[in-house]
Amino acid sequence: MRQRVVITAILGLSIAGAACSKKEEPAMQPTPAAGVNQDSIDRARADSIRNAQRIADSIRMANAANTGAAGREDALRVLTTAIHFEYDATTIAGEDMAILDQKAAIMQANSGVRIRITGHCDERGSDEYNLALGMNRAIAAKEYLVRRGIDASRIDVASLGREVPVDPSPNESAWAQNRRDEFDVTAGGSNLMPAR
Amino acid sequence: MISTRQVAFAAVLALVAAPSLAAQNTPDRIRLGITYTSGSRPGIVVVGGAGMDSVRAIVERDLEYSDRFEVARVAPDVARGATPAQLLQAFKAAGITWAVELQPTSGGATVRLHELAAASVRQQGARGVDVGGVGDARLAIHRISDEVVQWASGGSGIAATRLLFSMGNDIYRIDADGANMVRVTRGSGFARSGTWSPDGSRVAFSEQRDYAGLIIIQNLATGARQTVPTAGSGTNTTPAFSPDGRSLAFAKVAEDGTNIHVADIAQMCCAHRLTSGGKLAVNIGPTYSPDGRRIAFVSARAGVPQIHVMDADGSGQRFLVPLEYGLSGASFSPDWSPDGGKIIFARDLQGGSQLHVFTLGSGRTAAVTSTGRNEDPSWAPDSRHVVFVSNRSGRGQMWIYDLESGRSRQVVTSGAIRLPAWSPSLGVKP
Repeated sequence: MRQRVVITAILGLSIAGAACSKKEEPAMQPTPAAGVNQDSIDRARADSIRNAQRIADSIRMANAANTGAAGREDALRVLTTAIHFEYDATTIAGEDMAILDQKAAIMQANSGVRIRITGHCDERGSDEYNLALGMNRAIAAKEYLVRRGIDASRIDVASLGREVPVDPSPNESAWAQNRRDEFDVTAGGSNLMPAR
Repeated sequence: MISTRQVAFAAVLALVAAPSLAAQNTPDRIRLGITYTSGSRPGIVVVGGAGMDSVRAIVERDLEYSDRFEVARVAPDVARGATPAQLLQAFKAAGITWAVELQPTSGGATVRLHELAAASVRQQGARGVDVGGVGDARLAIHRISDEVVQWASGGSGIAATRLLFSMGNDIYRIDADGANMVRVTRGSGFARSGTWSPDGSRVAFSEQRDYAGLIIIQNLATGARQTVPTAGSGTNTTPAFSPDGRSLAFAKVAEDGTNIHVADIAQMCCAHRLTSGGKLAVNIGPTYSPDGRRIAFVSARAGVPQIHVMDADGSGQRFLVPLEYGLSGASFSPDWSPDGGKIIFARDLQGGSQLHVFTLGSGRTAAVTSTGRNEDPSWAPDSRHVVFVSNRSGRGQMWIYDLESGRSRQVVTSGAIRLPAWSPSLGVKP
């Protein structure tokens, strides 16, 4: 997910760069040729003005489109940011509460958005227990969002236990990354509005 | 598994013993390359007629893995120069108790168990086997091994058994001696928690895909699959057949809690919940007592997951394994022994996970491993061997441990293995 966000950001910059280079192009200024009558000059001037207007409009549209895409990307990034847990715990830490608060604000600004929370665990403990623990981690995040005013029917929960580690290494750093809730937008993600 | 030190010691014995045995076998003076280390267990040796090398090798290994005998080995090319009478005399002189004689017959083998001290044949019979000893044809040879164990010791063998386990996304089976690995599932999700039906003809497992988990029952001979009705959404896992094969208990991981349910698989209906405890309840890992009247399971109702028990209808839920001061870490994966007397489980202790056996008669719990992570134990049908996953070799691998002799062996050496389950005996009653 992080890689996709970075790529999107780079693409965004490229589009903005292209738009800016167009903005610096000089408007066409037709030069009257000898022997050309005034009507021709007026038509040429009018054409030039219309052309300049089209370019200016296209620049404004590109800028506006770019700003909207960035807003959607920001909202999506917030909605899909993972939260993490201590070993064998389902308690939500302070910094993760702040992440959930941001998610709640975006969900309140986008009533059509639905999400799925999937709990994950590190490799320690039995496979079966970790399925249950992952579910309880997902439930903990869901209940937090519901307390922030999000309708429970907009949030699905699931558990993948220890099956899908971020880092399969058998060490504390990897285990800390693997003990997490992941968030997916399952509906309403195509026209996300930023939080109000 | 014989350690390097034991092998070297045995080789020295062979060099010393061989001339002595040859001297006793006058006038022919036949030299026998016997490798035999006497110990507390009775000695046994296997000899085969022409074309029986594969059968002999499998039976020898099975008897070794039964952990009931000290297996003597005879160099085949040397032994063929001796008459059967000379061989038996030499084995007796070396202190060996039993000799298994395998002679080829049309379509199989004649098996004789010689009781050397009495100079008599204890048991014999003709058995149909494919002497090539490959693939599933090995099972008939394993059955011979178990018959020999029964004839010689009166106990149950474990040669004609198989192990289920998860590796990657699939479940595999393998003969208990570590040969003949076969993929069982079709790779349509994460296949986990494989378990055997009481007659060994079917397996049940959890198939997780699309953020849910189904319980599947698969016929091993035909590959036919049935989805167990589990009532409601969630991830269903840890299936366990009742001893009569008519019910299946399992855990449902769902938003309203993780609880144990049971379904009628004779009628494929009527799943219902046996435990409760609210949204954050954790009740998993059911295992039936051999009489089918009780179910042991893991519950976190007291905070830390511990081993509990209930009647098969869900009544009478209570702690089973008592808490012990300083030794009451989270406990998982109980398995009730086939003889009904013991429950083995894994307990988290000081950063590791150790196997413990709770004896119902005495109410005592004893650790059977001491280092590393040892998880997911499953009893063999003889109620003395267990298979489990251990990282003692550096990563999760499948090991077998004999609680009576303390001997252990690694079953396979590749892949990351999880959740093994030992089959019932797949042998035929003699």
